[in-house]
Amino acid sequence: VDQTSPAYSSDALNAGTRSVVANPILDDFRFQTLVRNRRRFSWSLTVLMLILYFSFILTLAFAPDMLGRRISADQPCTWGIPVGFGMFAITFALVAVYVVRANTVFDVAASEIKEGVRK
Amino acid sequence: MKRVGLCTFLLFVALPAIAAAPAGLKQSHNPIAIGMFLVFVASTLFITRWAARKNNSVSDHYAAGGKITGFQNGWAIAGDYMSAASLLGISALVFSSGYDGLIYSIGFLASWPIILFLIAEPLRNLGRYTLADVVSYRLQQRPIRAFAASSSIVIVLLYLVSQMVGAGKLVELLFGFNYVAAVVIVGVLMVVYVFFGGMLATTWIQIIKAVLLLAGAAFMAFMVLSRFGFSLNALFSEAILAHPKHVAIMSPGGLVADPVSAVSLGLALIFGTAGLPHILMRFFTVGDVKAARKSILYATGIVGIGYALIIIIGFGTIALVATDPQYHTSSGGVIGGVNMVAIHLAHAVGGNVFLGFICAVAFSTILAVVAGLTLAGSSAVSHDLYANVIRKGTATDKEEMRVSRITTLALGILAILLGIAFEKQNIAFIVSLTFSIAASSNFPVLLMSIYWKGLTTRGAVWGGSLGLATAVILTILSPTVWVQVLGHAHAIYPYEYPALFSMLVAFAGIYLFSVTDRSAAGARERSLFDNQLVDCELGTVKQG
Repeated sequence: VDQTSPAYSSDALNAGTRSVVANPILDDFRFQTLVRNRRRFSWSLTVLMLILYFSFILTLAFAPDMLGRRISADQPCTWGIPVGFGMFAITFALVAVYVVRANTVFDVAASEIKEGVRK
Repeated sequence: MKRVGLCTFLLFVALPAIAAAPAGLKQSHNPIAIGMFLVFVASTLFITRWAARKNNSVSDHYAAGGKITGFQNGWAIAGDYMSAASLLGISALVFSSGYDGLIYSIGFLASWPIILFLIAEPLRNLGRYTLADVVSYRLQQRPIRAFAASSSIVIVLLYLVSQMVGAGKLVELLFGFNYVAAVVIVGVLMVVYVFFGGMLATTWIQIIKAVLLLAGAAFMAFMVLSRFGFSLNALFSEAILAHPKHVAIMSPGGLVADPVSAVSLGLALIFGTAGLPHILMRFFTVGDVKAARKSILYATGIVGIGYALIIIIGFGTIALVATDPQYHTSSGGVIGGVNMVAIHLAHAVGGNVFLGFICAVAFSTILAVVAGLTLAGSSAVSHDLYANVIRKGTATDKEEMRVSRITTLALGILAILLGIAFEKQNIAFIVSLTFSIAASSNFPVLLMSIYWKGLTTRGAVWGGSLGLATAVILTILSPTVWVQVLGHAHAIYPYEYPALFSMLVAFAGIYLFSVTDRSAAGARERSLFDNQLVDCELGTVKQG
């Protein structure tokens, strides 16, 4: 199958030169599955991150006392400290989860589709 | 010829520095700091000379030929992103209000997963040098590039002003140069790095800065904790005793006063980064999406650890600097202002040598950020405005490179002039304005161009411009500018930050002006989306 992705040189950049002929890969079932799975995964993680972050921000704004409560009565450390540092850890963990899945699942699927096209 | 040029610049930079040092000493005489500063400057110029030999094409100049590894790019992103405001500003925030310092640092970090999940891979797969490459994949080149370049230049100039003023004041304090000399030194150095060394020199300066910053912060945090037997509770107890607000420093203290301002600030921090041109540009320096992902993984780790250390440093400043009379003026204020507490802490835990080291780190931090900004600004002018809007893609590599260098020079002069003009101005609002604009212009347009088939050129240009205008107007009408800078009695817009409304305006504008676009060009742009999707997912764009 011939790949019809348009040339990308600086003089071909100006509008009107890209082909509107639909790329045949679009009909490939594996491609559709890849797009669907990847989009669902990355948007779910995005929503999860936003929920975590804005719950933190809104807790600060509406219920600061919750974060100001001490963990144990005889120590000065408040719940806000582990929650705050936990936000750093969760942020990194979400990034790591995405990278692992993209490296092991999505990259493999994408290269299989490209291999199939080249044959 | 390049070597001669560099030597001339070395003279221009080093001589005023040496000449100014004895004459303009305002603060304590600090030969160790000046020595380390000169060592740092010399090594960055050495790197620039090495990079200049490899800087032979437009692709080298904008993107280091795409040859940076994911690991290197992770460090460079951290170096590009953590400005002096991170080290000095956040530790100062913890010093004055304790827990609230965490709010900013968490917001700054939380933007990275969003960039990874939604932006980084499409950007790498569809673009070459600027974000306008991505947006104009299926939209009309000229209006889209004119818009994206303009908003990028606004962002770069605003950010540059804040960095230049900060740099001038910092260098004045740390090394005893006068303000104008300090601004000129920063401006000249950043032009030299970018003009000769392009992206390769900028990248390595950012990497070195990130390593220095992390090492310095780690040592400082270690020394602070060692004073308290490595017990956070012991550190907190001492800080609570020392701080005038006592136990209140352990809980959120109303830095974000009302929910609208809180959400607005959060939106600007988390989405603004995804629209900053100098940050987005870093993803074009790696070879493929795998390396782009890897860079974000490393960057998030490095920035996260950096901020965690800075929070510990912040509590350390309360415990060790707040009560020590040698860091205070006779009237009781902190010498050099509250932004200097981390510098004083360096002296408290590591003596004069470590103080000199941290001064050099703070300076390198500024240089790495302004170099990245200058490169992003000059590429917006030369690649988007010149090569594609004015010359419609007919410019040769050589011509584009020449325009890029002329722009670098112009940006350097402009940055120096603006830095001098804004010396006495209250510019605290500028950084948040920059993030708000980025979140309301570049980010919505970029996001919609990747994910929404219905987007047309008309929607992108109108929506993005309306978002930008709303962010600027609301900031001018907000209490920070209307009352505190312009001196009016009451603010017309009651909240501190505009992002909540300006982002809504941008997305609504993009939607409305796209769906009402009945032109043939608009229909064509929508029909190109499916092919863009293939290139976006599989990275199959043929690079000319």
